[in-house]
Amino acid sequence: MSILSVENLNLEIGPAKILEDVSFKLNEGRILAITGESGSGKSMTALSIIQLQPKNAKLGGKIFFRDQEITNKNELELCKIRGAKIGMIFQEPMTALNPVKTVGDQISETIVLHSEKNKKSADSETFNILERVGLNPAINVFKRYPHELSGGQRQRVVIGIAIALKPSIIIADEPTTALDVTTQSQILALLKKLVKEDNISMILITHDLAVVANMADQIAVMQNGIIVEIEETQTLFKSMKHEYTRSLFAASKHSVELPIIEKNSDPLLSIKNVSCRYRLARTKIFSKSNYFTAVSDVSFDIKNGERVGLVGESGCGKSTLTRAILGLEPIFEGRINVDDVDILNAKASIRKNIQVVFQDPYGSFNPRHKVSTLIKEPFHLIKGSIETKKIENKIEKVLEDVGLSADDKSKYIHEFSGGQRQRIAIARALIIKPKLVIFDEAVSALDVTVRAQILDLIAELAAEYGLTYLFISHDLSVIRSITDRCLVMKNGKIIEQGLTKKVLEQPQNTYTKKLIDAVPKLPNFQMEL
Amino acid sequence: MVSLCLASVIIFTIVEIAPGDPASFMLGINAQEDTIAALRAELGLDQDKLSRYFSWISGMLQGDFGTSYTYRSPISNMIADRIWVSLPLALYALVISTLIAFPAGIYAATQRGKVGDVAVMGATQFGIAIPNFWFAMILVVIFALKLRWFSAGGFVEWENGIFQSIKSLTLPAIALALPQASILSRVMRSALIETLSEDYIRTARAKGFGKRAVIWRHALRNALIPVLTIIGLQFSFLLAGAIIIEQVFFLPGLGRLVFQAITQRDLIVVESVVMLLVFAVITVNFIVDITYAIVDPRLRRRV
Repeated sequence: MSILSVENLNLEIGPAKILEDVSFKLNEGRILAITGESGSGKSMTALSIIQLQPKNAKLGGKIFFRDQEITNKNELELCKIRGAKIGMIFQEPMTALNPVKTVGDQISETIVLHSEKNKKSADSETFNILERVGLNPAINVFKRYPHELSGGQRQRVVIGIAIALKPSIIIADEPTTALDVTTQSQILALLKKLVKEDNISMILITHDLAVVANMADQIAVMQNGIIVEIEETQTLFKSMKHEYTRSLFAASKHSVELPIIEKNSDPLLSIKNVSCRYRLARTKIFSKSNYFTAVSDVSFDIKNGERVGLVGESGCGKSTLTRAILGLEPIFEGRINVDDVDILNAKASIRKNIQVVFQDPYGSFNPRHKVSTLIKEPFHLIKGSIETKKIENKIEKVLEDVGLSADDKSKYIHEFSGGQRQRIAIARALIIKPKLVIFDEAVSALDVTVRAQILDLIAELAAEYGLTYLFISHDLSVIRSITDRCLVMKNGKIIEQGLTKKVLEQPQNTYTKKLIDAVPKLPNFQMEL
Repeated sequence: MVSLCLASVIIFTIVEIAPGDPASFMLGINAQEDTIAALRAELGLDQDKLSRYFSWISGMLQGDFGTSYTYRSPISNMIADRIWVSLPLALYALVISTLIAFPAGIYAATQRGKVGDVAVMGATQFGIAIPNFWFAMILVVIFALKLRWFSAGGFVEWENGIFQSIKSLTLPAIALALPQASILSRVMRSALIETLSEDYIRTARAKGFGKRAVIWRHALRNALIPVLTIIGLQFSFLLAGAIIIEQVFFLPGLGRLVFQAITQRDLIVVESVVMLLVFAVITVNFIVDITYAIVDPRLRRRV
């Protein structure tokens, strides 16, 4: 018998149809994955199941939990199901926990709410749960606040809340998307184990096909609010009936052809023994200041025409190093030279040689400026005035180069999608023809198909502009497809470097090996076309 | 400490720049030059500015605020008398404003966009717009003249019964609290609405908490942080900004003292009272900072 069945679910917010005729059944003890790109309605499906869809949404269709209809229950009855019968795990471990309550309290209040237990016995149960989700009791997690835990640890707490009452179903909405690869593999393993032990059925929502392939028994692929294909995992990967499924799959295995560029032996960027450190808050008024070394003794060169990748997990010092290269971060020791000029004394004329593309296509533009104003910003780095007409021509040219149209220059940034914004960001970086472009996680926030397009674009532009770039990413597949050489960073140090292919295929360092192993891989029961 | 020193310099300078010589003011227009000079010498006004500044500061540090030019009595006594009117008045107004603002703000936030919200927000709009001295007079007309529940003005000393004193402060406190309550409930509302859109509220709802439980257990404490900031600012305002209300109700508070001192060029009183207010503002802000840490564990440093 199916434990959850969704029948013809429709969801409208204003005139927009978010979900259309979504139907599926979840059987006991099974893992159903819902996959698709952002905006496909995955999360809305999840929220609708526990009846927490946005207030202004109109919901149609029926949802049954065992044989009870959820869709016609009142708020009070729903509250008894949420948390107790259906547990929920959300994407963002950073914000999913209340910052002013200890994590122990946040688990134990769920137990108190749904059972007859008093606070004390709920607390002692919480200790067991914390241990079950792999949080070492020795560090006394119970009394800690969320900000004192890492992302992975917080996600364990969120999982703890979800499993506290041994629910029949867990809905996990992108549970590992915000986490590093090694943490991701640990969290996925934990989820798999718990689901098995407690015989929980799970709905796993993720955009990551590789995660889906390794976790799910059954897969539903969603596009624009419609389930286009729903199949057993094996069958789906073998047949791929629907075109969209195939395109998703192709995009996630996407590789680009990098043009071959003559390398010039002079280093364009030279980093010598660079260290950066932060002062930590003092624990006592008169104690000595302690420092945290974010980047320690890093040296490498980037030659003209080289495309270099920098890989590492969050907190490894990539971002600090990037800011140091851009001259936005004080350097404690060492030198960073661009074209043999120290970046710290760099005047505008040298600064114009480095441009950057940031991760967040939503936050990195001033929403009140037109695209043309945004793109021509780097021109202030160039001395002497340039005719307005010339600048206009350049704006149009560069917009076309990145695959947009010249007319887009008079639009505002909110009129563009995430992928288009990233194209604009690239246009802004390229307009003054810099010698070095830094891509700081430039494709991490994008969907697979859009990511594939942007990677293609970068490869194209690399040929056209003869780009030299430093591509910073935590995603090994991106690094593999778009760089010639790569550096692996851990705890502020470069622990391995070499040709990308060689590093990724024959890693020497144990950490690099661990990193590569942790990446979920698409299974090879390949399409029998 | 630094801000106190800075404030003292600024206050001293500004008051010194202000026109008007206390000695000639005290003696009237017909005073003889040498009488004025004698008085100036007596008051210490003939010394140079720097040494006057330091004697003022060192006196204040020892609790001696100097002697009023006009009343010839120690300022510390004058302030001590008045502060027992102004401080309770400010606290009283603050309590009233909080008691109105919290329920109103929470209610408006839960009713967001509905009639209840619009009504509360409309009322607060009025509360902000109405000048409080006018509102004070309306209160006097209704509750003192018509209903005769309160007296129209004046202050019953604490020795004559705490209840009576509080009663005499009630109308002024309400008048003072009205705009503050209006601002505070708006802040409360928007802070709560913002908190309710956070992810952890969704988590709490997914745990099975109802809407109301979520507000009490999870949202309120988080929403309190911006509210505390405003309360801190308001307290300083209530303490220092009660001049007009004290005039309306004939309350012998600090505001009236400053007002009179200014008109009589009693510079040293002005300087001292303003300095005291600065001290109070800094103290209140310090307390608010400590409260932040109590409310928000992220601001505590791990010991």
